[in-house]
Amino acid sequence: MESLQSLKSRLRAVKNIGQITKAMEVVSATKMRRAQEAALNSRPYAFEALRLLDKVSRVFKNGAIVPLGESRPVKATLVIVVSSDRGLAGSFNTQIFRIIDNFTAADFFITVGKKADRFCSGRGFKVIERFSGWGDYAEPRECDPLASAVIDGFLRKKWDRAIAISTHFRTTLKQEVLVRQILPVDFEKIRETARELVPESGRWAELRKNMADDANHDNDYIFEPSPSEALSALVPHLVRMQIYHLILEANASEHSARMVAMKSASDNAEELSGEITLDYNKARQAGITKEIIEIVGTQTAMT
Amino acid sequence: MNLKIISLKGAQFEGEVVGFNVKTAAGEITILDHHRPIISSLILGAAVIIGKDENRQAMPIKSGFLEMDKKNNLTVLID
Repeated sequence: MESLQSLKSRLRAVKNIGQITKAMEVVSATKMRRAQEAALNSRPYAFEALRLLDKVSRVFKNGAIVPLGESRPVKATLVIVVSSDRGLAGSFNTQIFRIIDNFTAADFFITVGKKADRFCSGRGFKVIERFSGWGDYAEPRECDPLASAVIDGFLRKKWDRAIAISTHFRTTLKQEVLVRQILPVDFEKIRETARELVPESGRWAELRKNMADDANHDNDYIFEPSPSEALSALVPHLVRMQIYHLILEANASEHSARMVAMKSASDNAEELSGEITLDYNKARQAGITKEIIEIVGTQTAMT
Repeated sequence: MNLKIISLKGAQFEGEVVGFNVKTAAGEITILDHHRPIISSLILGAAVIIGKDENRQAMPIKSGFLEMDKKNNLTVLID
């Protein structure tokens, strides 16, 4: 049997770790709620922007053509990898990295989060831009450099396709890695993104129901300066919105993944400390019994 | 008319106003009650919300869009 002292120090260590993981769990829960709220706040904008897009594109009878929607033969591909800055989030980052292995042939990489940068640089991929520090609360303004880089490269024909690998937040317990095409723009896909802005279940889920499209079919609008200019100004905004939304969703996923991981860690610590306490008590009792036997034995020998 | 100003961070302004003055790509315009439906893109400048009793409220704008619909609703999307 282990000595009392070593059992005691092990018990203390396990309890300390349990406390830390418990604290991290609570922190992640709060951050997750904030991240979901941020995603929700951007919903009215996404919604209005899409309505506007609908109205503008209706003016063009045979499909609107914008520079960002141009699909050309794919010679070069850009992959945007969205991961977390910090670890201890269960399989959150490994899941993403597993998907990246399918895209090793891509020509350019842009990473969001330190973990993605470390992974891609380590593999020798061509990482052209790195972003980090968006893990907690990303501001729309902060995401602008990323969106601008993606759009610029596409317009200058540096790449003909931009793909984002990020985590899709479905519920607190369920996140999945999604591969999405950002450019060339597909209006149907943008519409889908707007729908995804609301979580499937939980506190905000009821908003999903009252998201019916209000399509009023009039195109009696004055356009200033012109419909095509309005459209070409609107599309980059939608791409920006989509990228911002990717980041928000990855944040919500990261925090919920961490919360779940930390919860199982603290549960485990609790169980372990129970076992060790039992062992400790047994060892202590064994010590006492041994001492009594010694005393009684000595006494019998003396009389 | 009913004015709604929305950014990616949520609604910035919502309420009944008399007029809205803003710089657009085609020049500065003021939208008053029952303006004809219009869609326009905004450029860098200051927007002025004219409320009842002539009280004015300025708001900086980087870029964005405005849409006036038939039912006297003005929606402004800003960055």
